[in-house]
Amino acid sequence: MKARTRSTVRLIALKSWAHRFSFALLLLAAVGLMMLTKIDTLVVEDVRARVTDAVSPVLNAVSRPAATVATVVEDVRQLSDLRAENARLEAENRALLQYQEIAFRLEAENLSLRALTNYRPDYRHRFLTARVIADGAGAFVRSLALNVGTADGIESGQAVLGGNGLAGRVVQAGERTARVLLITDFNARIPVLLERSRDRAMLVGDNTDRPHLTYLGEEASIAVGDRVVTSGHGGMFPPGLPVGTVVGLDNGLIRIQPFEQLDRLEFVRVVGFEPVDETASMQRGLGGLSFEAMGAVGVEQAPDPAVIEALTRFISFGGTPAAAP
Amino acid sequence: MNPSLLQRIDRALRSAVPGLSALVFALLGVVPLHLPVFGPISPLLALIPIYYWAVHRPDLMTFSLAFAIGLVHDALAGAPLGVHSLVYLLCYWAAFSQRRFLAGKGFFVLWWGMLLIAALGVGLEWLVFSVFYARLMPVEPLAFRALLTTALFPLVGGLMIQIHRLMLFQPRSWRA
Repeated sequence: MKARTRSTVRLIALKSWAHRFSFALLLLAAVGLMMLTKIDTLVVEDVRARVTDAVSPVLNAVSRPAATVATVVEDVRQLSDLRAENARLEAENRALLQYQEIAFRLEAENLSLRALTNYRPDYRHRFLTARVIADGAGAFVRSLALNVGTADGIESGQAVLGGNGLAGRVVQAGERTARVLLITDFNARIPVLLERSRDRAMLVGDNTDRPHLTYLGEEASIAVGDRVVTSGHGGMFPPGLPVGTVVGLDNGLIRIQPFEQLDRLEFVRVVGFEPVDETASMQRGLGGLSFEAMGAVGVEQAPDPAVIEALTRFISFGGTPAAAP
Repeated sequence: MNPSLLQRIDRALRSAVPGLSALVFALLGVVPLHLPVFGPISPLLALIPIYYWAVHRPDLMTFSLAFAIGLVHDALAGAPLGVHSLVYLLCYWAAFSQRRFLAGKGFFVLWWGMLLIAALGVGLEWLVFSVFYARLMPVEPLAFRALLTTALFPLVGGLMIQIHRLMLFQPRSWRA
């Protein structure tokens, strides 16, 4: 009886020791994993992609009702100021229609001048619309998971747009999911330029809602309200994607308010961006617009509805948007 | 008497409940809610089941499970792998070491414990991220994140209590 008690005590002691040992081991494993993340991101990203792929059907299903609830809440909130909103929108619409007229005119002029000078655009875009199925959920990570992956042609490095402007870039693509690093994340660096003065800078995220500019030249001219767009330097992003506006100085940092509301993204567009094949670019370089069609748009002529439609497509970067799977 | 196949399946399912519930809340924690300013202060949802089961059934919610759930959280949220494994492990350990005090003391003591664990979890998260990126992370959202996690305890923890009751329930015919 006594021997049995002793062996039981020994067993309990052993179990408790194993318990503590496993705790220490797991702690070390966690620290080791973090160091691995710091050193070799490839292996880690592969693991991450696999896990996200594996649970993507669940996330896909769960994120839909969540999005619906959010939409309903937003709808109810908007009901209260419908009338004022309508008046504001009508005024804005009138102003925008005038701008549209100017844009059509300039675009037509631009196109005919390009045709005259035999200008060759050096890139073209493809779009893929994707749903956001998971977000960073925390103060220290600003990222999203999308329901598209390499199977849909998504690659690391592609730009991701919301409805209004640049949201981030694809940092890792699994087979059916992709991870997007938002422009506000601590690790985000985007080469940009100021649209008015054409000064170059680097947009740096710092986990706040407003990223800031660095490497701005000393003689750069900058003012509050200046628009910031991607510069296309480094070949990572297409140039000219809208990013945000300059909102002011904060502790010596030039802060940018992104055009896109990054905490409300539900659908995004991933921009595939490929250099045009030089020999084949003449006919399909401009998102399907043929040179005959461009030639038909005289500067002084009233624009034909079909051409307006084609131009509108071209203005919104051309290409046919593909539907999300 | 050897348990029948059904009884064994039943037992296996019951043992899997704590881990599964924590996994479900880890997934729910990364579902985009599209709410303004919510992102940075979103609660550490998975911490609630981890805390509850560490106190009540540490045999079913083990260190390795807490580690694995942290790993899933990191993979989905896009955080450096291992950060939340470390956070959940240490929180688990804290709850586990206080389980004799917390278990069976009633709901409000448990809730109070949740506040401490949530504060510990959020603080650790901040510390680990700051060390990982070698710079101080913003501290503004921390208090709200901890408070929101604690505020959700009656809901999520209440659900855990109900699940716990169901786990203990046995059909009369199976009782020895």
